[in-house]
Amino acid sequence: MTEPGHAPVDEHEALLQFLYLCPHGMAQFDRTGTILMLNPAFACLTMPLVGPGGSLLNLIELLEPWLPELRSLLQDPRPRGMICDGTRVHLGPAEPGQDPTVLALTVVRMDADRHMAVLSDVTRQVAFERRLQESEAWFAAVVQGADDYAVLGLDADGRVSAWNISDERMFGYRAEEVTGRDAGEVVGCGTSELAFRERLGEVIRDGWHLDEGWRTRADGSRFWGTCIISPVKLGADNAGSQNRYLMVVRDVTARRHSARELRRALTADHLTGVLNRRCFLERAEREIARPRQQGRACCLAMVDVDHFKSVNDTHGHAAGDAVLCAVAKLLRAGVRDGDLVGRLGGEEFAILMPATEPEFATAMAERIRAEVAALRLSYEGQALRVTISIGVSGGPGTDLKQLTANADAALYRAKRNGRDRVHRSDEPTAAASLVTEVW
Amino acid sequence: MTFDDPSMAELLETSSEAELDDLAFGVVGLDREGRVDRYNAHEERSSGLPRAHVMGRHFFFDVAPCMNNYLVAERFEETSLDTTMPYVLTFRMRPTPVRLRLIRTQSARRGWVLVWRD
Repeated sequence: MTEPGHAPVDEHEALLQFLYLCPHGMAQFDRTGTILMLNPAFACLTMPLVGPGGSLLNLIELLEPWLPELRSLLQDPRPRGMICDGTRVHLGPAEPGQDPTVLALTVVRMDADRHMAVLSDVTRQVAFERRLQESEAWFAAVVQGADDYAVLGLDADGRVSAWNISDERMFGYRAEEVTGRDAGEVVGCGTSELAFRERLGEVIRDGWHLDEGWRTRADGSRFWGTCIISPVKLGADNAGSQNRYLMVVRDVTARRHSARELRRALTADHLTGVLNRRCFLERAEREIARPRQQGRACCLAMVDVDHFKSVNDTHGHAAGDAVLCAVAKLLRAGVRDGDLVGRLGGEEFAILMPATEPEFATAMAERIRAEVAALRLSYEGQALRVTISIGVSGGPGTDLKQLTANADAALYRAKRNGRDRVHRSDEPTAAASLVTEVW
Repeated sequence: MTFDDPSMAELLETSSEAELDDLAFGVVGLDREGRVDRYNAHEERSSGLPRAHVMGRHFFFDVAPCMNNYLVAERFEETSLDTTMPYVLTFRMRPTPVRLRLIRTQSARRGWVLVWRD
């Protein structure tokens, strides 16, 4: 129960308490700088500034060593208004490991003889700003020196929001040309907006996303680049819609080239570029062992260049090599993606066709045979004709060894029946004679 | 007992409430946690803060935040302390020059803030 007469006293106490506990320093001073009123926070912030023999009674004198311009700022003739707003007062070097103390001072003139000062400790804020500037400088230095990677920022919708010199160098676009455009379109090798959105979903889910592919520069030229996207969290409690992304693109064209060279050296036949024997057999084994859909088995075609020895003897080994390369080229051109072409040795090649009906395999082999037969090669001005014989085997439940034996047997029959023809291992003798008749 | 008495710590420890109330300067006693457990009549009169309002409260957080800085509050982290310094308190928002004597004895592990107003 508060007696009516006591209410103003309580209110007065509450107001005092309010000013007393305010975390920012507040003071009122006259034209000479004499402090008329101040709250504890103001005293708390300024007491450490009082030197030997000094006092907390005059604000201008108190801040003189750090803010000498306060005196001239107060000469401002305006009758009222802002004298300074958040002016930084740097108190100089701190203890090692501590950030130098910085205060922010705001002074408002209310009339000729009354000024209100608000003082805050902004040490942490200033230290944070400085670290941010250092990070930015560091980042700029990294980006400036980068010539094989580019760093860019994306907004929550995957649109380019930050584009710097490294991006300009890598893609040839200027910031104003790409800012706000969909990043999938600009750097994502023409990825659709929807697909790019899904990719950003993965970034949120997995914390990152990496892809590799061709990128197109502003001038239309291409490079092979890896692109890693990572989320940038703006705060611990931010919702997904507030996410931003950092994208780092690396030009790995040169590295990709050398990786491809290495792979080629290990797996390819050095003369013809098709798979070498070891690699072909390894992959064929794997392919045959793989469980098949719809029960389709693999087919194997054994290919042998007819009368190769005489090409070598007549025209020399270089001519022989040219013939092998020409045949290998047609073999590769004639098969489907996923079929394997290998050189097993000398003039002998093989094609493995996964999940293929023997009829289809035979037809494909026949088409390739016809293309080789139609080939008009010339070597050092001399016309060279070349034909191939092919044996095809296939069917479920056979392993590579059995397929090879069957295809070899069919090839042998093709050779015996006059060469330049295709035989199937499981064809009836009548059909074989039919083919013989046709060719 | 004068403000500058060299054996102030022992004198304060052995003084009764009435003896403290007779002193011509402010006395605030702090327990190990920094809560006010002694508060004499002179300090009550000078600060305008009634004893009932102050006792048991954390001195530097709740009662005198104007002393919660390295000049005063942080000095009490020292195990042994007896120092006198000029200071300015804000009594009812008026800057009030004072002399502060800060005492902390190793044996008692408690603190004293003495305030001399000119």
